[in-house]
Amino acid sequence: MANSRWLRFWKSFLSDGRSKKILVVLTIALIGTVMAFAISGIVGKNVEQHHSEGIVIDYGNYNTVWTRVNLTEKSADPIKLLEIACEKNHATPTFKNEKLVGIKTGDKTVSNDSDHEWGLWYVKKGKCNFEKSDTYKINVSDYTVVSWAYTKNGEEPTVAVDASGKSIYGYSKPNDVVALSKAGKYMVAPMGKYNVKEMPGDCSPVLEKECDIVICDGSIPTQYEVADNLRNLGVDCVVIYNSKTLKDVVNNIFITGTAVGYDALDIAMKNVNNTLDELKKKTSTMRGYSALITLGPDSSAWVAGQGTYANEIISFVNGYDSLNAIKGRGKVPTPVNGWVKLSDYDIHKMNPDCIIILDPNPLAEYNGKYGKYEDMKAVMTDMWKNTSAGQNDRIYLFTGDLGMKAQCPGPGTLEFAITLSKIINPDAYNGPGSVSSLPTEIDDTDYITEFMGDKLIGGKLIP
Amino acid sequence: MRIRSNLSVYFFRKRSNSVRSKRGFCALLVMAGIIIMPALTLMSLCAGNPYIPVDELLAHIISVINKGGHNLTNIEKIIFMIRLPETVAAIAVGIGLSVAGAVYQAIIKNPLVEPYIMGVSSGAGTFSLAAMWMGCIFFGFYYAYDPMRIITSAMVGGLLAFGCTMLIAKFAGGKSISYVFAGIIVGMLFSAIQSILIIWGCTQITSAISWLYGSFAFATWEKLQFVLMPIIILSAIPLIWSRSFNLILLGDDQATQMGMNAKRFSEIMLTIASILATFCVAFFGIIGFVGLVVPHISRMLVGSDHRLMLPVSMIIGASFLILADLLSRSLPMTYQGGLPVGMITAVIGVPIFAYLLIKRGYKYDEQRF
Repeated sequence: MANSRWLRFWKSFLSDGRSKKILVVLTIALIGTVMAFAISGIVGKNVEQHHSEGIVIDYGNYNTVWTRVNLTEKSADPIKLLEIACEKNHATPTFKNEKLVGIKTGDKTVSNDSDHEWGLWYVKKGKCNFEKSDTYKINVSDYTVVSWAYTKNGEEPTVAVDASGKSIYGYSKPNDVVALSKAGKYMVAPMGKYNVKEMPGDCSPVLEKECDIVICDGSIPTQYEVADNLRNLGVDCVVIYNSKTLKDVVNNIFITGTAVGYDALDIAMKNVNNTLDELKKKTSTMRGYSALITLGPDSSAWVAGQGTYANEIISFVNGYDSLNAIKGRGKVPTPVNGWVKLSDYDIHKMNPDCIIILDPNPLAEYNGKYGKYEDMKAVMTDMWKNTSAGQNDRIYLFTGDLGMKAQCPGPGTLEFAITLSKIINPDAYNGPGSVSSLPTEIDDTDYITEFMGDKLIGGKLIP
Repeated sequence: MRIRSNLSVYFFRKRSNSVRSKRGFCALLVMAGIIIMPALTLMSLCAGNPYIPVDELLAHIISVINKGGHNLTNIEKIIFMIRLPETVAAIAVGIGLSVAGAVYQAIIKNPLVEPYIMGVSSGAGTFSLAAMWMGCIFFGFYYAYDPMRIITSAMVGGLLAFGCTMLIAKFAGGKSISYVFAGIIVGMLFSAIQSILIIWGCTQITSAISWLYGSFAFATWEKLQFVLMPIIILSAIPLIWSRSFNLILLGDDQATQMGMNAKRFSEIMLTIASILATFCVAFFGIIGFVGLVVPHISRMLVGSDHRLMLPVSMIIGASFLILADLLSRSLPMTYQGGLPVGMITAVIGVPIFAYLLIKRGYKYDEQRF
């Protein structure tokens, strides 16, 4: 019965051509509106990226000078801006054949030589890498950052934009800093007397804190969007790069220091570069141990593969990356990228001379009976214990403060590198602080002062 | 004879009363929704970190109106620039997914069908992960970390998967079951590629998970300005064709006998529902459960007449997602932001659905699907 009623109703409705036509026209109109919205959304997308008004003079080795200049149509000329910047900084540019060949500051002149030359570089809006300009006739306001840079052939100028392609210059000096990750906190905390607060990656609590600048972590992709949203809400943000290499770590120290207006940044960068040079010098003639860095002692453990700064440090201090032993075996892809999960059989096969275990919860309160190291050894399988590292007591646990520094790239990464260097190159270090005096459970270090001695300007890495 | 006639009069009256009472019940539900939704919206604006008491919230709303939206304080920005877009997004997606689910279930005539059955979510997920992993910027159209590049990739992926499903289904005879099977295999293919991408780009896994479970944490007015209207409009189209959906439920043959081009109608409505689901997925990630369960809850409450069921689905879907978003913001956060809404919808949705199934499931079985 119900069906017949429906049939009657629909026969009458559909036979009435007008009502059907109205529905069809209405549907087409609605679909048209949707298409118009979609097209306007895509075509009307504004790729404008905020940039700071001014110009950079980059003397190389992270020695940069930023000069804020309000850009007008006339002053957007890079040569005019260079003249303004030089005048403000008591410097004199020298041109030869309409090319910049040197800049004199006081009695020091930085001029072109066979390896280095001055050039005009820019970062396009929305990009993160520098490009060299063939001409000096460009409009500075078309780019995120423009830099007069003194560079070595084949190298790029000092980093000038953060991981989201935003200029790192031009922020006002902050009092309250919020870091949206532990890495951000460990990056900014040593840099001065800022109130640094670590918060989850959400806009509302950050906005409520009324902080002056937010350090976002580029290794967490959602934080690019958080940074975008916060900038739209009027909060200054800087997004540090995902630290895959030591260079990224050093760049991030510079970016963070520049963005928060750290006064002693030039000294800190000199100290960082000198420490790395010293480390390289100390270990370059050594034949280092093979090493493996793992996260925890589980039978199937996460291991630092290529493309992680932890792995790069092994090679940097002249150690041998144990992962090479199993590369291309078919079971492990070549190259082994990022943090990879390997079985204890793989670790046994690699047979590293030393294993560095990073405590996954380095700052957690220890409630065990026998000590963290003993607990760790208790869960270790025989496969681990039978490696060269296990047999020769060269399995180290990095916990506490050092454990955090090893896992959170920042100035503390250098202490991690020095400690690693001592373990990998025991012959390079004698006396106090040598590998024989290193405990197998290392939780706190201040090796940089001891390692660098008088060469450390200001007595501290980050003075 | 007389007895038979009296019986038919009795049953006709009973049926008329039943339809009238159902309409009354539906009106009651719509009224309840109209009251509940603003209440939930108000709660949603208060909830989260920081918590804003209702009296303060109202004071801030008045203050913003007085200021004309300029020179907002940080708390006012939290309310109007962060929480309100989130809540509006939750309403829009709740409406969109519920309608898409109802359309799919009606056209395919399968109660287990959800908006993602055509492979839309897998396609969108695969393409967005690929964009995250490879840093696709559409030939320089978007800047390096523009969230719009992920959204555009997801839309392309969703529509591509849908296109593949339609093509396979058409070659397989174009029956309802063809769409289901085609959707399943296309979805499986894209899911497999998605898993490979997650394994290759392991450092991005946490972000991928956040996207795959859906979240309104990154809803902004900028995004809403071109997702809100399409979702509302695309949801309105099935509403104006709700009578035809009732007809389709009688079966394709009967619908065709009555002069309706059932095949074309099904194709058009599937396309609309898929575009609707793609819009929701691309902007806010994969939010499961709503599209599957909300149409069923609505059917249990008001029956399968789409003129009643679709509006009720919209109200329930919107309210449900406001509640889920509210909870996701109130629970402890991580470096990725709040908990994904997709996880919350299942946690709160399952007990509600189980309760309704126990209470009203026996009636539901008798009703025409």
